[in-house]
Amino acid sequence: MNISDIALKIENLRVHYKVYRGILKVLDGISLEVKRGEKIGLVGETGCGKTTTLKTVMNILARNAIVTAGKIHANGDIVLEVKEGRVRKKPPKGVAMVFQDPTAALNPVFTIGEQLELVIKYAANINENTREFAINALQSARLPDPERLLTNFPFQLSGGMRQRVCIAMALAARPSIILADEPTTNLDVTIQDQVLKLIKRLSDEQKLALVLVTHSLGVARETCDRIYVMYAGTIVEVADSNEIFEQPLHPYTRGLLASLPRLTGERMAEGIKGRIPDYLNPPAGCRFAPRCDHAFEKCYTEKPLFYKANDSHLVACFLYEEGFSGKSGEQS
Amino acid sequence: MGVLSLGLQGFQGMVVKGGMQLLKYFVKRIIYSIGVLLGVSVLIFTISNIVPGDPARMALGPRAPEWAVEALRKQMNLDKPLVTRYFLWLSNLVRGDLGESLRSRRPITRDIAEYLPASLEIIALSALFMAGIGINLGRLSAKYAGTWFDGLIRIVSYVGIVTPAFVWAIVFSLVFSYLLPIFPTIGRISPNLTPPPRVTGMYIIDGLIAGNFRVALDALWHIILPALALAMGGAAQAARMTRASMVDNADKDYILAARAYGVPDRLIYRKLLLKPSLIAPISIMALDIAALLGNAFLVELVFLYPGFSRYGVEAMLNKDLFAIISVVLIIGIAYTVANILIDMIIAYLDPRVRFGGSRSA
Amino acid sequence: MLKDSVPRVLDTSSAYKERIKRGWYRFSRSKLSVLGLALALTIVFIALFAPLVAPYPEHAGPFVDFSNACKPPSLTHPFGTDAIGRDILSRVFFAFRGALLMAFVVLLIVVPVGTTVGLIGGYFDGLWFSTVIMRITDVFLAVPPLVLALAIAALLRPTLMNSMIAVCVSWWPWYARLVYGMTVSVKNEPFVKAAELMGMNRFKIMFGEILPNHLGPILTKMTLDVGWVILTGASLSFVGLGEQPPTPALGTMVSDGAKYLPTFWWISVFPALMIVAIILAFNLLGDGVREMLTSGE
Repeated sequence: MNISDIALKIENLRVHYKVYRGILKVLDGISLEVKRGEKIGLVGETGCGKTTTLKTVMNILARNAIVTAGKIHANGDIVLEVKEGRVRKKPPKGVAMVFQDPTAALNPVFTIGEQLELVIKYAANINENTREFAINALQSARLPDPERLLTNFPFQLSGGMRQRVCIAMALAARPSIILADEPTTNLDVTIQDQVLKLIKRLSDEQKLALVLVTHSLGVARETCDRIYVMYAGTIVEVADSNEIFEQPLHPYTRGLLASLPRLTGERMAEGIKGRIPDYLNPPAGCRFAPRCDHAFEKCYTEKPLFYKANDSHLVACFLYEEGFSGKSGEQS
Repeated sequence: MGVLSLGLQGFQGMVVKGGMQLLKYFVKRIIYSIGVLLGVSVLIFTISNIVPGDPARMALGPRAPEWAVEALRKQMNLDKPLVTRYFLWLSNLVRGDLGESLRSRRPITRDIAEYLPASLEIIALSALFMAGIGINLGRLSAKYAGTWFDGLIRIVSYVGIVTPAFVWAIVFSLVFSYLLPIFPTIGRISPNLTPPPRVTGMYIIDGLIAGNFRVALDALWHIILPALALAMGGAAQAARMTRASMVDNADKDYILAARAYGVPDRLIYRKLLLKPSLIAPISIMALDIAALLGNAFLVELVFLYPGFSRYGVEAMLNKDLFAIISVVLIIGIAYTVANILIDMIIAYLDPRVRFGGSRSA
Repeated sequence: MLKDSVPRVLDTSSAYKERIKRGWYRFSRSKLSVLGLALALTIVFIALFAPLVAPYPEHAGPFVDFSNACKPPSLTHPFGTDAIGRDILSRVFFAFRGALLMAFVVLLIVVPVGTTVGLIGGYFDGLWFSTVIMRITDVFLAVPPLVLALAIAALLRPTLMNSMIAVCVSWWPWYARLVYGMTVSVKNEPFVKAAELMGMNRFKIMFGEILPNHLGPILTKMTLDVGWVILTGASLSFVGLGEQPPTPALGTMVSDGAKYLPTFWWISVFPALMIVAIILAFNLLGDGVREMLTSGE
């Protein structure tokens, strides 16, 4: 592995939140890596810790968050490291984040121009010709009439335009990595498609590493090269996008796919029974075990490691400990 | 002060950006307010005239001869019906004649010219204290939220809210005048000084204009305690609301995004977080300031300060009809004007209001 | 039934008792609120039983004892004595009576009147009489309440009753405006429209559907207002309106004592502190009420 090839690498990240009732052990050893120009999807249901992961990279965790273990490299720098119980953090350079709700992500009382200027000044470190730079960023995000936009306030724009502005702001930071936290969830379906295509195109054109967080496998497949499936603060499976759909191995991934409604075929969509675990007292073993149809004793007491189906396909499930015997089972 | 730095250029910007719509909105408000104030005049006119007792008799005292009372009654038009009297009063009003005070025997306009500037000085300083102390304490409280400093400020603000202005007035006069003789407790200027030549009626400004710094400073010294006493309640409210607003907004995505993009903390607290958080506290503070002209009398009485509010109260106690009506009207005008000014400030702070209409906070 | 889907406080089932228990739990979570409740109850108790609780109940009437005048706080007179020898603590206790009576009467009148005006104005918003009502309310609101109360009280003869009337006249519009705002924002909601479609009587809609949703802010404001009404009353008596001597009133005691500052400071300071205590108690209580009613179900 050539270090300079890898834009973002997260190793064994554990993050806890301290709340009134106790400690929420949300992230339980997240590892992932993204190469330059690669697009990965981080897929999981609400509450599984996807946003926490992104926030840890950007160093904007809430005050009651504690990083108990892990190491994060971004663009060659070590941005986070936990050694002997002490946390060393550095603000990451060249990483930009696009938030889920564009209305909340823009300061309502400042103009787009003013907000862009701040990003350009402090994230991209450009002090001259900031206005031109801002207009360029807006144009890259395919926004019409950028000069007028600079003087507009966020509430004057539609939801889709606001999200594009957020993307423009991310671009204005001259990043090599973009973290997108469910950027289309709050938008109309037709706009969703446009925004996703925009993000994909930008990543291609500018060789940006992209981490796309979403709860929809379909969206991830459309936009990303590889998909990490996340459940309750753990990565359960990672593979190339197509392979996740053609050969889902982890019972959770299969459950996710089974719950996608189909236009054709007799089978109805099925949900996965049960609920996400209580982070105050998470399961000692595999966190999915309580909901898993195939769970056996070991699943409840030990945490599964990653087992390789092939070079790019890993799954964290004891079912595959012995090896792979074509256990693809029922195709979805 | 950080607040002021959000200041003037932004204001110009607002006028340019908001433009026609903003202007139309405010013109509408002003016209509406005039209507409301006319209503106020009707209200207070009616109240003061249907109340038992004979104003003429009360003005002259129980021992005045009947013919004198009759004459005064005629002079005050008390023999005419209510509606006629109102319109007579109104027509006088437009000509700038508010009538004569039964106590001071002077045109009321003269009384007002003498006492109103005095109160305005206190109110201006009070407003400065409220904003300066309140918002800055609130800002610091939010920045150090959760620490002992924050806890201390929160307790102090609560005390500030529940303690009425005249109690502060008494406490301040006890502490800063008797225990630690720093500030004077009586009147507008020290008895051995003469007031500066009248330009605005405000001693501080007139003193500065005349180059008489000693008098100006003396006058300033005299209003510090009363202004502070009046400001405490509003400042405490402002501190609480600023803190609450900032703490709420600090978790918003746009602040997280700013931090993520590397904007330095001090810029975030001074500008990005402060501006959206000011909307709520300024609305509240504004109501307090707007009411100050009327509520100042308690403090003016404690400090024996010859202000407008005190004049008003004495007029009321002496059933000095025309003075009462004039005072209430002026207080109403001040309240309304203050509200409109506040709306303009809110419009500056919150662009959504500029294009939409009324205060949302 | 549609009615069940609307959150109601005036339920009569056991769910009602459950809500009371939950409400108390939420309320008692904040120690400050409980403190406020305790203080408020103490004040009410003192006011009700003043003749029994005050050490020198006769001092609240026409009593003079110059030999004991202007004595500083001591064990026999915890708040000291005033210029004519009366025990300040006892007089303060009796002064609570007038204060609480005023708060009670004023709120009893003002809240229903103001709320009704606000409901009507808000529900029929846009129609001519709603506009008229709200314009009239605006006129009253253009003057700070203390000023209006002062003007009215000054023009009438100075008695407790008259100052109560004065405060009533100046206080009601604030409830009207509060309720108006809330009603207007809610009147186009589905549950109201549905009730209209069902042909429900409009008054039933206003008082049965819209009002219960607003009870939270109204109750909170009422509780906070006890303190502020009493303060207004004290401001009135400070300038000699309201109750007349020898009946003790907090404001009167403060202003009488102001002459003796700073030497005999206790004559002014203790009544002033008691005013603060009352406002504090009902503010804490009001905060607790707000917590209890708006923490969500």
